[in-house]
Amino acid sequence: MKVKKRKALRIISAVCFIAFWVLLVYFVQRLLMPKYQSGVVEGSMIEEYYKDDTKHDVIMVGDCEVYENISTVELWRRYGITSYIRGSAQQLAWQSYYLLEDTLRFETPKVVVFNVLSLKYNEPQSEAYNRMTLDGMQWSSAKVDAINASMTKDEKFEDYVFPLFRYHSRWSELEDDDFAHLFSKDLVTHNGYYMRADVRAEGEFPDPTPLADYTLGSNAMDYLDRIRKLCEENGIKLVLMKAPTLYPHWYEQWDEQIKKYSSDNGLSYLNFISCRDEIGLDMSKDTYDAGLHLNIYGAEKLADYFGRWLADECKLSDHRSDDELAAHYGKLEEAYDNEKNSQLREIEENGELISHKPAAKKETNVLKNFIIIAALAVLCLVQVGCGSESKKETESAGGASSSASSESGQEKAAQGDGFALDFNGTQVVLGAEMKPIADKLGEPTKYFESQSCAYQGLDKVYTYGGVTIRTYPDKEVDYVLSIELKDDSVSTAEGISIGDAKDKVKKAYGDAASSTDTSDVFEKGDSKLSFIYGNDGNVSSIVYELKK
Amino acid sequence: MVFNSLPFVCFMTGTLLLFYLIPKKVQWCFLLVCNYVFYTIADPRYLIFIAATTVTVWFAAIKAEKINNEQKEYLKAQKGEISKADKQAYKDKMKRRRWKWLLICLLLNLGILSVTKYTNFMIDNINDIFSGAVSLKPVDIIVPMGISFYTFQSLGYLIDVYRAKHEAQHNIFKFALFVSFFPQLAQGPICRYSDLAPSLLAQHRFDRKNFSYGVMRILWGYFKKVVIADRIVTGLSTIVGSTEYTGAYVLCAMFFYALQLYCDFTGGIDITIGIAEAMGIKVTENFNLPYFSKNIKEYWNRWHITMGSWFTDYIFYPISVCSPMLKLSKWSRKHLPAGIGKRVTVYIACFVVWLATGIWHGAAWHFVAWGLTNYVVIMISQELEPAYAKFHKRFKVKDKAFYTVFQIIRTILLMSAIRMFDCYRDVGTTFRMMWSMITSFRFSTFYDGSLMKIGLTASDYMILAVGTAVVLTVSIIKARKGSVRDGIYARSSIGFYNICAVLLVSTLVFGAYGVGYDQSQFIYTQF
Repeated sequence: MKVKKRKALRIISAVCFIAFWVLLVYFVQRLLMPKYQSGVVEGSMIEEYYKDDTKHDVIMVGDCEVYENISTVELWRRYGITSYIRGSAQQLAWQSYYLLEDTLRFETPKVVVFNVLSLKYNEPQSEAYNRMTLDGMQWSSAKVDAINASMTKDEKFEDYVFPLFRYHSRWSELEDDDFAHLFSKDLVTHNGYYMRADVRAEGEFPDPTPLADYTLGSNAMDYLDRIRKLCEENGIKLVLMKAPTLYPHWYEQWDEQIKKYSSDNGLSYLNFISCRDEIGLDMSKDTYDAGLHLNIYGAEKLADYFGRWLADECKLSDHRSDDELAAHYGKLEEAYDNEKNSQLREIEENGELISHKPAAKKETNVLKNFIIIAALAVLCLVQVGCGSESKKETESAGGASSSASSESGQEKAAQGDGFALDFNGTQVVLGAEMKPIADKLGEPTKYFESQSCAYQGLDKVYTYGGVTIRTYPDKEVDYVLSIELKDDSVSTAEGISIGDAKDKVKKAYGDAASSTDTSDVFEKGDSKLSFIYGNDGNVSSIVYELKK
Repeated sequence: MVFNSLPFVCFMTGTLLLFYLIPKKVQWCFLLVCNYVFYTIADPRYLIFIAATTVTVWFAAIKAEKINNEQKEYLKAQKGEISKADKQAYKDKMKRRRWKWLLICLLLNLGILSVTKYTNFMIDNINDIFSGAVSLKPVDIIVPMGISFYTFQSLGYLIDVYRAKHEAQHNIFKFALFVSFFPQLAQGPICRYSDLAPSLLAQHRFDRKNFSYGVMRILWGYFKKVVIADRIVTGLSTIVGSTEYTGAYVLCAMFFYALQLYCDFTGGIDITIGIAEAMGIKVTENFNLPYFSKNIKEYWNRWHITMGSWFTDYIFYPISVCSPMLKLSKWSRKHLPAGIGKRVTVYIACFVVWLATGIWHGAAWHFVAWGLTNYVVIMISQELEPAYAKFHKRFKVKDKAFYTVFQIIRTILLMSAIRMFDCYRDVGTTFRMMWSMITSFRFSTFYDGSLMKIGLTASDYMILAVGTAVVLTVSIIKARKGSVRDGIYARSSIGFYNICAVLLVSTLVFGAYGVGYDQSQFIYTQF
């Protein structure tokens, strides 16, 4: 009897021990995962959908061109249309597809709207954006497929299953938000719409870079087709849209392909760029970031315009007379108005929306966070060792955050195996850090910068006479993304400049990796060099770029 | 499958669990399958090489044993009937027959090892020697994982059978298990058959204590590797990656590499021994607190112990007692001064051992330079022994704590300095960088923020400091009180498991892995 009792006790202790440590690891994982509650809030958007238990007539999927440009509350106010935006920063076509698949587990909308800008990306782009889209998805086969389709070459599936593997090094960056929102998060959108009430007039955008090939990628187009089929199978009307913003550039050639695809498949395609006046957009007032995205005034105007079209063309009913929905949306409107007023107050007080600015890298107290985490472990050790069951102590402790890569920046430094341009005595290498290059080249004749989505840094365009250098940000460092030669003042290392004949290019570079009547593309390491020919058959544009 | 990867952790966990779930009779068969699965996952082409070594060594050992037995039986039958001279002649004849099998097998396996590891090294040297006149192209040849380790382990077994130290293993599959035991395949230790085989081939019942001890050792190994070694590598590679980092940076690199190599190699061995221990298998210890050594000789008795003893038993002794050396010894004692005369053979045998040790570590001149520097330092310290004896006779400091600490620090510094050949991977660069410590040592490097610009952040330094303190504390406890695990387990088993859990969580949170970090292979797997 005694032996039995002892055995049972041992089993109970083992179960308690395992349960305690599993809980602790879960707690640490929660603590270390980014909360996206201030500054970069885009990472919270996807999971917010699951908190809304109403059905929607319209579901919109896509990137910032959807979630920042169309006010879902205005759609309700004006037309009684129930809608939700399942948007996220740099949402790629396959992510939109799987998010739609995920959404169909909960409801079947009458209309699905897909923003076409993401079709310009044909392959996985960025781990940071992937995480913002995928982490918030509930586990389902759609999420598994979305992860597999989205992972960049450095990513691993298990990092999505156990986010601790990905975010473990955030312990040194933990902030108050990480503790305050350990188990509950505030809503950051209004049915997926991300509100901005500040104003910054549209500015001048850099000229679009000529492309060697304007064909939209087959992978991206395949996912568009899958979205179409999914909608067809579920009796949903699919609407394609292009937001009315001009940057990033939406090429005419791309537009033609979408128009053709729409007409071939009987879809509606609304390119709002061509009807900015009809919408009533005043880009000196209706944008908050110099024309990249609309502010609340622009988003409401677009919602008015689009809502009318949806009501007329898709025959959507007005639900404002539905008491239950009216009550639900009443609360939504209240929250919407409150936030708008709060933002306006802040702008009046500070002249800008400081609370919505990307959080400057705060001086986090590394020592404090280390002590908290270490103390957490020791505390548990001591308590469990003493047979105590108290777990509450741990809940107030902990530190967190994500800088999993002290190396990655350095590794990206100079990639010597690609194309490079010698210009004004400076070697500009694709993928190299821009700062030392910019220091050597001096003041640019023209400079443009735009905030990349979800504050992942600034996309910058430096113009030095006939040379334009574009950069991309990665962990606070800018790297050379592309170099464009615009006139014959500069030639490539092999002596080719604008105006040279196609034969001369062939002589200098040999056989191209891909070639058409209007372009030759050469590849070397991680880079490619494109020569684009004009109507006279001579080089009209030279572009160096990283394969991405 | 790298040890510090999730697939390996899953493989290891699955193996450990299934090992105790299957009938005990087939445990060794199951392990053999696991070994070959592990090796196949690494690269199926490797199988040809390990299979070739397994078959040839197994066959040669059987032959050698057969000749041994034949000799024994013959001599037993002829006892008292043949003369001493005939007996010796017969023994010599049988020895030649045994030697023939041994030699064929040695040449074949050392040939495979040399071709796979050293072909390109030879080509480079030929091109250098005949600069311009000859231009051989490097060969694209695979180097099977752990080839140095399993070749040495197999040949050690063969030589022991040849010497009739133990019986040959007649079951080729059991022998294949000894050659391919997966935890030690990548980086050793180089075990002797008589040490490993009994527990490897035995049937094991689940033993909670053994299993727990093994798990704790595995976790301790991961802690050292992932938290310390993989974190420090960023700073180290920045410094050694550019010759701009001179002076004080080189001193930092010396310490960084000493710490990295220790945590990397001992961490890997801890995982190896831990996995074996969890299955009740006893793998030979490879380290015995090497950084507490008071001189280099002692250091080499405590660091990579199995490699050192392999070279001693199978190279040093055979060379020392071979007939040309015995003749040379006789001659030198007669013709050279007494002090030198009796040690000439030791000098030569040691030279060969250290040259071989250097080349075994890698096909490059810096490894040769590293091996020979060790040789020179050991020889000098041996020659200075009489002077040390005089010093200690005059100054009674030998047992004083401060002097012990001085000796330990001196040994660490010396070994760290010698290792810079391995660190910079070029003999000339190593000398230049070491010289810069004298000519351009900038002390302010340590406090003016320079060390924050080599890829390590304040949090990295903090983790390294705490991690190193933990490793040092454990080492001190082990040196003073013996097994740390015994001590913890005896006090409280729940405390023991909590320490395991703390190790696991610390490694998960403070480890250097994930996005932005390369999953760095264990350093010794390249040898």
